[in-house]
Amino acid sequence: MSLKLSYTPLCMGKLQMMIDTNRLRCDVPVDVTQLMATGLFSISPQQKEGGFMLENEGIDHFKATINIEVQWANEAVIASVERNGGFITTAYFDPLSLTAAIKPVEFFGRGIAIPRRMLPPQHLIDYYSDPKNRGYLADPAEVARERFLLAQKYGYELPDVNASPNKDILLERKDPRQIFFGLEPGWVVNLKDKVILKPTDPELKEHFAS
Amino acid sequence: MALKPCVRQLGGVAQVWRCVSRSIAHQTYRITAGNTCHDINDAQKAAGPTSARLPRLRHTIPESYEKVEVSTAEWSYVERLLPLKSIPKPTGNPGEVMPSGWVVPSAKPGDYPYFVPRSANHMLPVYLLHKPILSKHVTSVKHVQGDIFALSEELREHLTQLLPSRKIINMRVHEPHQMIQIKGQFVTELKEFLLKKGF
Repeated sequence: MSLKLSYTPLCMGKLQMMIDTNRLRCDVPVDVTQLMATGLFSISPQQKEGGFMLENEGIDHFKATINIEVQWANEAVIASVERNGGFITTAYFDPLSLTAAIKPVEFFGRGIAIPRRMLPPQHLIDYYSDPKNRGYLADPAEVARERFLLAQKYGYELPDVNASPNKDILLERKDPRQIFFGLEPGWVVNLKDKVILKPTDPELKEHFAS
Repeated sequence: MALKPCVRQLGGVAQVWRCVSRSIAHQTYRITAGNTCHDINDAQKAAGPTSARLPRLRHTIPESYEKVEVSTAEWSYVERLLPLKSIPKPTGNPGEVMPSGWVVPSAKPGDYPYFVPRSANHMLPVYLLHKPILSKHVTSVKHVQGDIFALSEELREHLTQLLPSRKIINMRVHEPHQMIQIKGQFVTELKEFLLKKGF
């Protein structure tokens, strides 16, 4: 049985068009949940689909400044995002976490605790811990260095993040164990009463934190 | 969590129990693993000492697990996960050309005797039908409102000017379905024409 995952291709031109037509929210960091909320894609983790893969087509006219998290990206795509002052991260989602991430309302409706995101399997560890791929397990200092080196290679100047009005959005990152921004594993979201239930038992806390 | 090893353990002990049950009939064994505890005497009552059935499991979850802290501080993070109920309207000045090449519509109903609204995805309703076996291509403009015949005449004129070598342009105007069908592949030409008009 092959362990290899397949990814939904997403062209940079189409990403730009979704931003232009106001189809994709850009006032929050873009991740698999926001991409699925557009209603233009379907992902099935049961069919060993791993998420989104950014494709080269349209990199020349990509102009948006976004903070995007996808599951696979190549060097040209990374350069086209960073040239405009954006940030890109590649992150692994295990099938259960991906099921929760693609349909959060259905997941919260089940009334179960948000699971921990599992670490990547053995054959993907190298990809996601490589700063060249902007992997989410890579050292942030190394990623900053690679950002500079890529700008040198492609011949553009990296825009200053601190001068950007969307600094908070651009610098928002997930924990490797987090599925949703701002929500920790172990919490239960009650959509009806609009409250979040957090466990207080130290044993449970330790289980979800590890 | 610790259910599987626990069951295996119980299974092993149950086997041992069946062997020794004849000699020690009234002795109680208690096995505890994690949060699961089990009384073998109960199983004996339920299934009998010689039965092959595994003893029934009982789970006890500590009460401290049920204690939760209720919070609404992070609700804004949940709200951003909820998908929109409808497709949002694009923001942008009419006639503006966006970086992807998509143009904000500028024409309003009444500017021309006809009107072509955008589709739900804010795209021009120009489609191509292709039947590979028949080698047939039909380009259609859909959802045309108002005087559809005026638009068809303008399209015919535009295509004749654009393609002088083409003697006949086969066109069908379907007024009840608000649709114009043209034989051939003219998606780019029709889209350019409609964009020039501001649709």
